[in-house]
Amino acid sequence: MAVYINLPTLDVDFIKPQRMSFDTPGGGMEGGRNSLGEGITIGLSGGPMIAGAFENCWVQAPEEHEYANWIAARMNGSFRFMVVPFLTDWMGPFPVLSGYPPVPQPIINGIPHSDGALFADGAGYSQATVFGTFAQSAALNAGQIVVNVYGATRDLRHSDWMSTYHSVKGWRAWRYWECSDPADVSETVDGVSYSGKQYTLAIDVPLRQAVEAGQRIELARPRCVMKFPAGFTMPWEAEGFWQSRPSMRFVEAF
Amino acid sequence: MVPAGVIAALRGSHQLGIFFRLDLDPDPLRLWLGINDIPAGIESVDATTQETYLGGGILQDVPMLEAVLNGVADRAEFIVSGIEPATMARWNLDEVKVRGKAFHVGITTLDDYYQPMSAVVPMITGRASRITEAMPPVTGTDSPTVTLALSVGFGITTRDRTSQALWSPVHHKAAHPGDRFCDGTARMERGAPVTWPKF
Repeated sequence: MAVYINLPTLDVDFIKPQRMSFDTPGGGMEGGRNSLGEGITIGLSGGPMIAGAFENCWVQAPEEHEYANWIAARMNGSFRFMVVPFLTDWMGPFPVLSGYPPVPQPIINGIPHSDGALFADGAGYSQATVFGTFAQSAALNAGQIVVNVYGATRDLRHSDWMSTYHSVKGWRAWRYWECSDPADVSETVDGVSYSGKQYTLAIDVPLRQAVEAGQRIELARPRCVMKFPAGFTMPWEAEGFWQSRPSMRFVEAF
Repeated sequence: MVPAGVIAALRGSHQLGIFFRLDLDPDPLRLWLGINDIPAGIESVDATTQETYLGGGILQDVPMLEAVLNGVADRAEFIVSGIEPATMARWNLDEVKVRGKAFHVGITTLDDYYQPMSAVVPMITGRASRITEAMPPVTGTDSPTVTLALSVGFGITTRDRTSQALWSPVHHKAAHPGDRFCDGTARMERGAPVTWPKF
């Protein structure tokens, strides 16, 4: 049985893609004509799957070459998986905190211990600024979910990417295409009381596994278990001065 | 009987779910032509309408299915590809288990939220006669997938495929060297009086 959990996460900040794309292709076919002569379409896949790409990543330093080779070595052949984060930093409902440039910040880094000390290498804890929970349990293949969202600087309205960590199917992402008006909600999550908004969302990728009420939803850098598409490989290439601009494509892992 | 809501959906652009059910013992093999696993059921044969139908991938050969639905073919091969090998491993499919089992193909439409709009409506019922399970060797960048072909007979005029081999005295001797127990069977079949051998 393919294993979708306990996988490494692609460090998208380190590979510095110049271009990214995420898509939800589904299988549809031309379904003939109706009595008015208009063509109809038949969707046969019961919901889409996720496909994505990071293109023209920046690779020059030895460590970057190491990392690119690790990705290729792990993923070539399309049968091993990894967790791929979606760069939703710019469009998500994230707060604009201090600093320049004033960009939305999905994750706060450098949080010290309670005594103000950082780790020995200067790093601190990190925490998502916006997160959510399932307000109600939902069944396998559910296309409508009720969620609570905490810390958002705007209401959910058109579409946002989200993901959750299933116990068997691992990280799975979706975005919504229909959103109810927000309702106020308060909830205690891990001992901390949060106030936020509750929404009923219609999602474009149905749930891959049933979820319980209270299960955490990630809006900051949502992620999905992905593999390389069949037939795709990522070669190790380098030009003068050891520059390399590798591109990688992903499809949802099954 | 197809519910009116499903018929209305079929008149326009819609999402179609095609479901296969093979009545294996003890657990039926349930597949449907979608990506995700889905809770669904055929009311007349499934205990509930919330049985898990496994996502079997995209139908490889759509015209074949059409031919059967229109009643043209009395024997058909259903070919489904793209099944994950681990999924298939959950059923120990061999011919003895499959042969003669009831086989249903049903449809229903899915609503905007990917939920079946009704219980699965069985369109055709047949009897399975043999299954072909193939996992071609994969090289390089290909993913291993299983292609499952099921030969199914429909109606009363069906042609059938035998699964029996002729058990000859030679076979018996191969398993039990020197045993002449079956030596007389060929003559017995012709109606010749057989002298029972003295050992």
